[in-house]
Amino acid sequence: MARKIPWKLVLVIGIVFSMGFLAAGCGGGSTQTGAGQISKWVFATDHEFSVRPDGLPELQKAYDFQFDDIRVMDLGVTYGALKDGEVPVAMGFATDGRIGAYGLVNLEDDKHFFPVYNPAPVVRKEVLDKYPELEEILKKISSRLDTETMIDLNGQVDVEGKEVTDVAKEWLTEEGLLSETPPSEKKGKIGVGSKEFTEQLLLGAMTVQLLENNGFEVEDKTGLAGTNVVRQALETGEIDLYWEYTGTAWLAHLGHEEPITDSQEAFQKVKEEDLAKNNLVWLDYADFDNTYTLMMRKEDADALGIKTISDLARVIKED
Amino acid sequence: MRLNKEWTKFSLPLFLLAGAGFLVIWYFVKNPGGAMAARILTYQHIGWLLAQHILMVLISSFMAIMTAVPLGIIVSRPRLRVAGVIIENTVNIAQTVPSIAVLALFFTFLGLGFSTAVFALWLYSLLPVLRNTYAGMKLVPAEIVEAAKGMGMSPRRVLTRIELPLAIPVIMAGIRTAVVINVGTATLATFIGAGGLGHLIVTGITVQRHELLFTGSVLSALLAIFCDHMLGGLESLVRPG
Amino acid sequence: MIRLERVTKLYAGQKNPVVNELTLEIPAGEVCILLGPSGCGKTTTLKMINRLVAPTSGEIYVNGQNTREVDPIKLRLNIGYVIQEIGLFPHMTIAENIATVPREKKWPRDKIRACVHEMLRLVGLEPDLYSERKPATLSGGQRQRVGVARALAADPSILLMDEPFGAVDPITRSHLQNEFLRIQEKMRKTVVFVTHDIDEAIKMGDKIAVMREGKLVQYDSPEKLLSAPKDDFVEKLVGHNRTLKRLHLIQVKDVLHKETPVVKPESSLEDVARISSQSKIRAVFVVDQDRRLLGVIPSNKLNNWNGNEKAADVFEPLQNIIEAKATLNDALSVMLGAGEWYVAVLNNGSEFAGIVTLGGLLELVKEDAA
Ligand SMILES: Nc1ncnc2c1ncn2[C@@H]1O[C@H](COP(=O)(O)OP(=O)(O)O)[C@@H](O)[C@H]1O
Ligand SMILES: [Mg+2]
Repeated sequence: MARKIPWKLVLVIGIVFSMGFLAAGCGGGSTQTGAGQISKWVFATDHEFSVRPDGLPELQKAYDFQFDDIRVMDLGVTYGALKDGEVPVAMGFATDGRIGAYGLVNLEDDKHFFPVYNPAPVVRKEVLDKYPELEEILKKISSRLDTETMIDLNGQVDVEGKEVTDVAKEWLTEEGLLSETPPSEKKGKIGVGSKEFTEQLLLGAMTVQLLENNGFEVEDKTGLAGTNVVRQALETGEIDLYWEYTGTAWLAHLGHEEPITDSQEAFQKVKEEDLAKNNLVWLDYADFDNTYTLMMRKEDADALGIKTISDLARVIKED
Repeated sequence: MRLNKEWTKFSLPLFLLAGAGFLVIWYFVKNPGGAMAARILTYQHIGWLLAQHILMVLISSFMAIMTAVPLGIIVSRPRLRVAGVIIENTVNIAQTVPSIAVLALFFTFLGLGFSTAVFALWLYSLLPVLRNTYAGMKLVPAEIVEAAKGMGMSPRRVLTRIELPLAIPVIMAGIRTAVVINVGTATLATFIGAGGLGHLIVTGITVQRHELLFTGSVLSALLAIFCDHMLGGLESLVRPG
Repeated sequence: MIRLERVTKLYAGQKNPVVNELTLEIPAGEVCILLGPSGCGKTTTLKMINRLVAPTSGEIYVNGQNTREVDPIKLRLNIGYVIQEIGLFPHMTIAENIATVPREKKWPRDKIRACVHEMLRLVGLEPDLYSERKPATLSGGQRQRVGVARALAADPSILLMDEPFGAVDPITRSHLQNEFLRIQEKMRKTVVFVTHDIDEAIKMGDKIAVMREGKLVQYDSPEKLLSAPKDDFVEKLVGHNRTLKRLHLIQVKDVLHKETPVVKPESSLEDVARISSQSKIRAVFVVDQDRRLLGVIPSNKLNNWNGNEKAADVFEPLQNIIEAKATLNDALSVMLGAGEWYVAVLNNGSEFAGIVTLGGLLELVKEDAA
């Protein structure tokens, strides 16, 4: 019993310490004191964006500015962090439903830094040859979608908690795409796939419902899994079509290193190469871009007059 | 002389583990495997992440010990038998909640960052410590407690001289479990912007750079073994005799 | 002195009291045995004396004080408590175990150390060898000794012992019992001793309280209990071979054979033969000038020698030895064990007191049965 441990001292120090931390922890830390008053330009980003060559490091170079600090977190968390005022700027994906719901705005990528990710239906050529009318049918969807609409639809699912199929049906009905009297004769079987996140599920559901309404027998394989699985399913003929993003196909599936930052150019290049190499046909793309975006709270952006990333860079440099 | 030998037995593995850690860091800083990983794999950045990780584990574990041990002792008192049973079952159920869910829960209340992560880790590591303290106290043979009482020890003396010393090994086992779990769970803290070695792991996974993934996971594994061994040494220090 | 007055213990939710209207007076300096079948309330009675269990009704007086009116902690510090071996604190050394009560009483360290040494010696454990060891490294018998030493450490006037020798083998038990009797003779504690073993009760007790289902059936001296069991229950408890049981009651020192032949080591064999022929005992015992027993020369071996040797050259060592405190029952078992017709009796481990013979034992039993 030679070693005496001063239990009482340890206990008192420990409790004081713990309580102190408890008190400190509840205070939280905000970078925002009022609309447009930003004390420190902290940027919330996910892990991937923080290191990718087409992510933050090159973005700061391209626009020639530097955030004061960077906080790396899960992608889904950046929107909330921005909304709660923990950071003044965050990255996200341009069509995420939370952008509308949380009162955030996308900053325009005025220097076309980000690669483009326009979604378009990709169909196996045999199937399209058999049912050429698919092109016209799917164009009805792609021509009617833009960023605002997509944010809204995504928000209905992610924020309001509605069912994907309901939202898809409602939108198709509103747009008057569903005819009251679907053709009676069945046309044959089409397998429709999608990846597993909301936007993809929505695009998939719209496609399924619209095709069924046009007399196709649809095999619903939406919500399969990640990009690679769905793409493989298409290549092996397990599904006949799904919505893919131009940028993803270009970089991931076609194996290019240099991203393309112009929508039309990206679409043309992907369309040509995929047809030649894989016998896959890219139908017309939708005019929204599910790519990286920089977001701010609307009141901050308005107060500081920030609309584009260049504006942001200017304001940060002035501060 | 004997002390010297014991000290070597205790400290040598610690040095070896730390050495292995430095070796891993050194190797991957020299061979980051590409520009993308090189941005992260610098001594400064890894050191900072490691420090964040250790701090998170240290603070949360310390808080857990400070709260769970007294609580476990209190609920192990015979007159609080009902509370003890309730707490034991609550703890067992709570333990089945995934740590990521605890993290998410705290995130919704406390927002982003370091202190949220510490609180989530605290809550999560509270459970093994609490449960082991309770079990350790209950494991002390009733006859021994009775003998102590029968010889004229006051309840407080019975607690400090008989029950606690006899329960210490079980309590320490709980603390070790808690700390090791904490080292692992702290890798999730990066999801809520609290940094730590998880940053390397998650970045490594998302951008498919095995160097990052490997550095992060090996360092946190080494850290876990390090802590476990250190607490083992501490245990023999506080263990009765 | 301990006095129990109509003490009753009824546990909540139970129909029958565990201890029922028990009245008992234990005079100072005596050993009172609580005897009865398992579950009859012996332990509960014991625990009520040191208030580990609070009586439902009735009064208990310890040294004239009502235990309800004293601080239970103070009460317990002055009552030694021995339970089965499990009661030693496994995380403490033997010395720390023994020092428990002195430490609670805040004795100075030197006094505690001296006390620990004294207690270890008292129970026959070498302090230098044992004080720093842990209970787990001791044999069952040694642990029991430590238990007794721990209870005696602060010199309480009262000792409560709950089946203290229950968990050891019969030979060790008999040893421990004898030693405890030796200690008790010196210390004269007021002892309440719980057992369910009738042999132990008869051997150890000045008085025996027989309990049955919480009630006192008979409270008498062992002799009385054996000769006049109050009812069938006690008679059954005592058993059929009561005569044999009486062997437990008699200590060998009281029935030594008169005129045991002894010689000095330097005596010539001639002298030895002469002394042998004058005695009925068929052996001659060799002792030194301090009467320490050196060995034995059986009479029938005397002819094997040519006559020039001295006693010191021819005696044989002997194993069948017993302490003067031992009972006739012990003597009998030693004789039977050694296959001998006598057993040598020693005072304080060395001084030759005499012998007890099988014949003498038979005489005694015959007398008793008559
Ligand atoms: N704390 C308790 N609560 C309820 N019943 C008890 C308690 N302690 C002992 N008993 C009961 O009291 C009876 C007597 O027990 P005890 O005094 O230990 O008997 P003994 O020592 O003679 O074997 C037993 O039937 C036992 O079940
Ligand atoms: Mg008992």
